[in-house]
Amino acid sequence: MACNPELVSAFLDGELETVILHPVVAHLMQCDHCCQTMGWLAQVKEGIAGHYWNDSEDLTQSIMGAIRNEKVYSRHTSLFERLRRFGVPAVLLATALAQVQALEAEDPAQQSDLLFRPPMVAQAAEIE
Amino acid sequence: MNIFGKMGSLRMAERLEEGVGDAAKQITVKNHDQILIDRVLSGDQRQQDKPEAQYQSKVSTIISRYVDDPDKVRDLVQETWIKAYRALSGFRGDSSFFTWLYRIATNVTKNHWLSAGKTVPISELEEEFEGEYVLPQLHDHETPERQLLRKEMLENVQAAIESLVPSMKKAILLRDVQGLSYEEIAEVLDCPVGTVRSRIFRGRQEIANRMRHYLGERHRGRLSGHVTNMASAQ
Repeated sequence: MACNPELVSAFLDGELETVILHPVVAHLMQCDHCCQTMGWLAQVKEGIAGHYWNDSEDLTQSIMGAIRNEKVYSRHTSLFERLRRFGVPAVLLATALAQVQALEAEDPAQQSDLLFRPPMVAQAAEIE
Repeated sequence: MNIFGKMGSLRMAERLEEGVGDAAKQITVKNHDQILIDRVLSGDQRQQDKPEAQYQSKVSTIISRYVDDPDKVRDLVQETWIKAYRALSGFRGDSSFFTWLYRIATNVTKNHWLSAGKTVPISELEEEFEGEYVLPQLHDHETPERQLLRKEMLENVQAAIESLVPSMKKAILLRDVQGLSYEEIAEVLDCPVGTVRSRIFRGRQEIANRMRHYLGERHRGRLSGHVTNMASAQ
């Protein structure tokens, strides 16, 4: 899928339509440009709301721990870590990933979607 | 480093609302709150209409600023709602529902720290002042220069928001200040959800363009490239 900053903005808000959610997440796993877009969108979003998510290390670790502990979230830790590197606050990421959790809880079949795996894993599966 | 100061959504929202000019949004949200409250008081318990469905994330956000343990945050959020429900019939509507809820959440958090024999975060918590809440302005590590930069930056954010076309400004404020969902915004503004999504993104993009001076080098470079790409695509 091509870069689409409007969809990245909606993902940040936890407002992506279910049909496009997995392709956008898969795209974010491999597109640095869109990850950086999400980084500055998060800054603007924070500024408008007047928040300052200066995530402490403890808070970030807590959220990551929660992600790892949730079966649904377990495969999303890499996305979480990746977007953190682009400056998206952990708290906002938790909101964004919650929509993925909701979708997969609603439709377990979505969990087998190859698109949603990190690219390397997906390629290996195709080779097999 | 993030460019935005820790002013807090409530204070910022009030300031933004003062500057918006169009009071329709404020009235709509207030009506929306009143409908929620009336439904609860009348015993209407539809899940999607409960106040906690609307404000759960905001309450969690307030408490998690001062409490790191996720389990404890969950407990305190629950305690906040219990207190809120018990007192709901006494809510007079003098302030917005969220302001009222905000006070309960901060009091619950203060009590948590007091009962734990700790006092550190108390001074940083918002303090009630004649119905308003003064958010933490100063931290030990903040210098007057940083404060000045923050003030200047916040003024610029407000100016950038003010410069947006009304439809875009309303969408942005309803989302990022009031926390409404895209669907709710679509209902308020009487337009499709896709239009809401587009207005919010374009609004953020325009604000980012005006705030470019304050964005960090990494984001500035990227933003510049991004905007160029967007322009050439149109």
